[in-house]
Amino acid sequence: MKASNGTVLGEHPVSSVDDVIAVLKCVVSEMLATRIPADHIDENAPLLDGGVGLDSVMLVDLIATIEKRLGFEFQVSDLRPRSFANLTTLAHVIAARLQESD
Amino acid sequence: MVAVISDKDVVRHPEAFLVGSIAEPKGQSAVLGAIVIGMGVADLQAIRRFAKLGVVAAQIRLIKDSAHHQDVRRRHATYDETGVSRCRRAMDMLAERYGVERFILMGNCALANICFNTALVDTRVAGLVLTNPFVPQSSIGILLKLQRHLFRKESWARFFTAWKRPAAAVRVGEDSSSFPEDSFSKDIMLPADFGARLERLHSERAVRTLMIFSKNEPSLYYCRRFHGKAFDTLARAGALRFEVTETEGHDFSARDDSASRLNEIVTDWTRNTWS
Repeated sequence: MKASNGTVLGEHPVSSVDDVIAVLKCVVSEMLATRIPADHIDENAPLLDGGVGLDSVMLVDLIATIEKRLGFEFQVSDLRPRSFANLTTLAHVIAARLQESD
Repeated sequence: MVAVISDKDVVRHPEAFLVGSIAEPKGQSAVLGAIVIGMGVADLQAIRRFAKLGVVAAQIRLIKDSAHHQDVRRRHATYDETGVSRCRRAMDMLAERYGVERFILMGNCALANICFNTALVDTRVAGLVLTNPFVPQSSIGILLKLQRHLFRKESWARFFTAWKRPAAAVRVGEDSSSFPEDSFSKDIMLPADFGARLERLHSERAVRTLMIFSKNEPSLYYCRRFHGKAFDTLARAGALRFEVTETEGHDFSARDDSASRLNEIVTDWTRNTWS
């Protein structure tokens, strides 16, 4: 199955904020040394500062990984601290970009 | 649009530094490279803006080892010993990969000083973006400290809080005694004749500099007081742009408006200086 914007992850299209959150949780889960299961990650916890547990290097890695996996590119205007407050906020930014590339 | 390459493809010196990502200009070959030292969001924004202007830019951290990264003492001691050499290796990497021979170096705080000290020894450096360069408290002096606080309402508010409730005025996590800033002597220190050396970099090698400060940054007062004449001379010659932003904090990646303002200035300077 393919989303209207053409983005597909495995068998599932990425077409909504919830889908993007699910993808982000998977990616973050893979990145964390503690291997927290994806469904245990709180999408509203701060990404940095001890919330989800990412550091600045991981955040840069997350950005590059998610762009590759979902086949889009953040606009420069997206790259601001508030966009990376938590996974929900980030998912909204990404979903908006995916819709634009539709 | 820019092409972005993640670190896994490009770490050439795994023991030396860590590449966060590289932003390449699309559809044109770069004639200039940029090394942005820092892993903040503002730094990521910076490399992408550089790429849009035709500059291939790498976002790096000078220490790969995460244990060093977490431990402030070890991190700063390592910066002090090897910061310049690692910065030069990062330039080697971009030169090897993209054929660029001239570079802009950009860093904040101690990393700004490493950029400057790298320029002193490496003729490939053509431009510097120095934000909030690090100056030890001991260099700032009591008069400059007083001058800095005299007109700040935050300082007065803290003073009155301390007057009423001394315990409430103590800043949590601030332990200057644990920070060995006076033990540094090499790569992360600005030389005492910083202004004169900046002038020489311009006269001998045409190095252009952009300095950006947060409005309450202690080093702003130090730089103006001790190197103001050199800055004026350089600014008149078009070799220095000196900006003080409304940013409160030291780290430009901490807030949206700080990150945006920083990058607007860097973009404008790059466009006007290097196009």
